[in-house]
Amino acid sequence: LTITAETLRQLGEIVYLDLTGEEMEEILPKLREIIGQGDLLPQLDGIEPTRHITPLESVLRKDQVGLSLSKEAVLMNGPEIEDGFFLVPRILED
Amino acid sequence: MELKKIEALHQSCVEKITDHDLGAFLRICPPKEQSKGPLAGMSFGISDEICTRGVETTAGSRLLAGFIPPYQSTAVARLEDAGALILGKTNVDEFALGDTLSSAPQKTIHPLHKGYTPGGSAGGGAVAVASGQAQGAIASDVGGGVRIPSAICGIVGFIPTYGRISRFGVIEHAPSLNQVGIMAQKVEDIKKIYGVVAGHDPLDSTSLPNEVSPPVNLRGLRVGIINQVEQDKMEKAGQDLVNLTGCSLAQLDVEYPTYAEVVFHYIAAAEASSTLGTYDGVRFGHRVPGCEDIREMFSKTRAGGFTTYSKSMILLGTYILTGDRYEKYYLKALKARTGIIEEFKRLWRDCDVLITPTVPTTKVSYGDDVALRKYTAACNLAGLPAMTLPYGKKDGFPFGLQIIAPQGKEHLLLDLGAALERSGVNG
Repeated sequence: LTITAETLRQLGEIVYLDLTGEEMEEILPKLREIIGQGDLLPQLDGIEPTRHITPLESVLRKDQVGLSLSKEAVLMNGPEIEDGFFLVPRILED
Repeated sequence: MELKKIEALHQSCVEKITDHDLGAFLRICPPKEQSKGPLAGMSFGISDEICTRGVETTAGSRLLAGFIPPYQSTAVARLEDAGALILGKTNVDEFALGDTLSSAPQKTIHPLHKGYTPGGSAGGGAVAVASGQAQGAIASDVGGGVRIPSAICGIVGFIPTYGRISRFGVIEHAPSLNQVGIMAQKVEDIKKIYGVVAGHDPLDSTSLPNEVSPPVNLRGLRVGIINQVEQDKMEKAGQDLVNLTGCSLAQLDVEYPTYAEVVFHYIAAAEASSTLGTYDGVRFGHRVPGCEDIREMFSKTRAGGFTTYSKSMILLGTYILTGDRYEKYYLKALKARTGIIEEFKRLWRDCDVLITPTVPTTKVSYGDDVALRKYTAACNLAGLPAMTLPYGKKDGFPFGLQIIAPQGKEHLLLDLGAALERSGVNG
């Protein structure tokens, strides 16, 4: 079982990446190779998965008012800004 | 230091950068007044995935072109507070994803062998330090990003235990693996820099509480060597350490190098498929203009912004997180990560530090498809401190000796490395 060109195209749609034919040709064999290396992984039953290495649990800050970035600072890097908002193309269908 | 003196120092550093023309720096920071402190007058390169307030920070990606961080990363703030001169932003693989600089925005040339890559992801910082353009550099090490180019360029590269240096203000693709690291020519400089940048940071929820390191007795140390790996070089390094410190050696059978890099790839890709979803052209950076609707804007912006390598990692991550592949690949990799952590725990019963090569090969041409993280990625998977030191040459290229310690024992690495460095012994 290996990844097909059609699966790759569908994945591209899911993650909002339009892939060119050239990119498909470059990426597909590389992904097949990495996915094939999954056979190297040891079969470890009865063992807990590790998602994070830190021993810390539920680190919460104190619930108090503090300084934060100004609205201007947050908006200053936006590609299109209007009246203090990020401007984007149409979201709703007609 | 007076502003005039700082400007003169800055100017001489910039001239050095221009003279070298190795492509280590992406952009230069303007000079500013420095504090007095332990790093006063010391020049630094900051890898471009680490935010610098008011100075463009792109993480090596077209998607962040023009992004000016309105805040300072904790690591850079601490360097500045200690008097460091921040010279500029150094070249890096896009979002610190690669290991050969093939996805970086510009070519950086190996300081000793012009036709070869200095390695990545933080190749710009390594070249800046190796060529004397900067005295120190900081960068992300996700699977070896600091240690790999440091080994290839013949300098010292160090990462502490996960959580010892704050990740606040670091643009990253795999948060569970990223350890901010330090590059310098000497271990003594690494010690000095580490003393400044390490420490608890309430702005990073994974930051560890401060701890005082106990004094180290190198005489009683047990040094582990992996059987059948670079046997000649490793045995010589072990013997050098015995002669220098009176430590003892343990020959060990180790399994993790056969599969750690695959585990790393799967976990890093899965995390990247989530973290890199942020880059959509709405709030910052590059956006393709003239799109009819939001979907078209997302797709065109992301497709035009990411390099092919980053795209392949995002797609791999999405693939292994979807459907029954989640269990077959991702969950299996997470369990293998536990297996690696457990293996290290067993190893620490027989040794206090482990020595390995840093990279399987240091002679890497641009475009070569090589697996460079074989010995480095396991440290990130287990959150361990590690350091690469220049130890002679192999095939005419610098050879990096990696020393790995248990969590919280970075002082062992620093003291052992300093002893080796002071002795002048070289493989």
